[in-house]
Amino acid sequence: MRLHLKSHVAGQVWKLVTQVGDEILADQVILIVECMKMEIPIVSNTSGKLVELRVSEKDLLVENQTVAILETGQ
Amino acid sequence: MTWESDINQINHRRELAKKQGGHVAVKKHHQKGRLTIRERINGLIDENSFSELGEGAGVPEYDSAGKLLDFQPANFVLGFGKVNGRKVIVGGEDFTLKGGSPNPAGLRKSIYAEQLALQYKLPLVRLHEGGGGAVGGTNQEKKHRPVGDPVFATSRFFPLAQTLGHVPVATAALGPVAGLPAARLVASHFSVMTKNAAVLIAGPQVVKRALGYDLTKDELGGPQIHLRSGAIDNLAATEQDAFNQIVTFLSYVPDNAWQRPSHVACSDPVDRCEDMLKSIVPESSRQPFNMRRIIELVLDKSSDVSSFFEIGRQYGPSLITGLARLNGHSVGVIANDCMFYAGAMTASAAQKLRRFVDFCNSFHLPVLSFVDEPGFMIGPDSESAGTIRHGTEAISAVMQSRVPWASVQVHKAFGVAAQAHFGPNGFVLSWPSAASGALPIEGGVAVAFAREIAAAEDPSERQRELEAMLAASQSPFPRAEGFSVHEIIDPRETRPRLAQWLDLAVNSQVGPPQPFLTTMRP
Repeated sequence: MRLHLKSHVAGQVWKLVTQVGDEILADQVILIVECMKMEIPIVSNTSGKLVELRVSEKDLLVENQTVAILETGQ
Repeated sequence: MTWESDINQINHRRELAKKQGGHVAVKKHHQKGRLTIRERINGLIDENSFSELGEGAGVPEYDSAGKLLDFQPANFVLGFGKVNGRKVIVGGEDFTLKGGSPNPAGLRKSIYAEQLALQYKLPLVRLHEGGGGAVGGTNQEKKHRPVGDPVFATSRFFPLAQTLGHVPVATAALGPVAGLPAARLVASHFSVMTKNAAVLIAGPQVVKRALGYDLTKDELGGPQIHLRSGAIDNLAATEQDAFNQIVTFLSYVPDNAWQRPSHVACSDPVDRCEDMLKSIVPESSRQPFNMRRIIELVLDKSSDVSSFFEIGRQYGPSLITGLARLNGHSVGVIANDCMFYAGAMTASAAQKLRRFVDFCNSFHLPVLSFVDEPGFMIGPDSESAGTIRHGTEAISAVMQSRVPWASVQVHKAFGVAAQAHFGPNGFVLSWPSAASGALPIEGGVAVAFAREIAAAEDPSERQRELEAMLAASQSPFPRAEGFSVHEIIDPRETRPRLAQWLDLAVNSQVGPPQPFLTTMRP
């Protein structure tokens, strides 16, 4: 099953800390958003394979924007 | 001569009332994975504690010889029950009869629930599933009856409005809830909905006709809508989970506004000092931390289960609100969650705060505030949401608060919004990680010293110098030196310090408690 990982805040993508193809564990940080001068981690709540990153560093995000897609194998 | 035959008839009618909408309707309801109202009440209250009112209310059907053929009960079940030994009023719509849309006796019983709670000064629990009135009205045969209620009748919304100031009200949405039942659902201090519940002002057909949207009940008013809209506080995994959450909620509040919350024995050592508190706030103000963990480490736990019960997590998520215990006393907890907009006060966080502080005052719950407030949320969306008015309203509510109040300044306390975290005559503790001022340094310096920075030989170097200079002034030490806080503490001392204060504060309250009244606010 493909899961859309969304950013719970608006802000700017500060750092990508994973790559497409990575096996992701539950609670793993996928990327970090700079928001209100803080580094907010966007965390996956399930395990799976990262099949798509929809944003790059410096991109501006709106709240609830899909940032990555995970294949959960279920 | 005895009343044998009438007594038999009473028992017969009771049996018929318990059949609710009949075998087929009940089976259909169960197939949807939902419980009947009688099963729900039993799932909520202590075993065999239900004492029903108006089981005999309904519409009988007779044959030509006057023999009772059938009996359609009122489709609202109401009565007294006990929750952990405490009396409550409990009621809810019977969806198996007319989909919970009130039949005449059902309507009378349903609008009586609030009056009953007001009269006996007991907590009220309503378990909702049902629609509002139909266009055709509740009475099917109106020909020989006057239309409408008498002009001198008390509005059914009058007791609904009064209950919130007098008794705790907890409600659940356990299926589709629309119209009047939806209004009653949200007229509560705590509300919970199951995954398959929907809360609607009007259903999909009405919406399609009026506005053209083609949406399902779930799309219109499912949990993903109303936990975020703030109409409903919490999500329940199952119906039993919803009942359990209501039981938990009730454990923190008194029976009514004329009583104080009860104190329970506390097995958690009051002098417990957790090492983790020392390092939980990162030195870099750019790094977030887990505020819920701080709350759990400080407040009571038993068998490793925290006493913290969060309310409304998804609404205004930059602010955390919930109930907990400290040294056995019930307390209301407010805190910032820096994972959402650095914990900034949005319009919804402000409304959440205002409502929660009023609730604590209604039932005399001391407030513990864990502060990490960077200020009001800024930007175009925040301006459009009227954040400044909602935020100022929240501050006014805090200023009108009369319950004991303690604030622990964990991290930031900036701008006007910081004032929403410090109640009148409050006890103020500061952690070494605290930082206060009118504006966070990073934004403030560039604005306040714009000319000086621009005129400097190396503007960015000058900005860094100014930031370093001002950062020192935001340190908690000068504030402690100026007795601007009661004490600057080692974070590990937070639990014993707060517990010591709370004992003093609770014992200093004199006179019988009264319902809380407020004035106009911004």
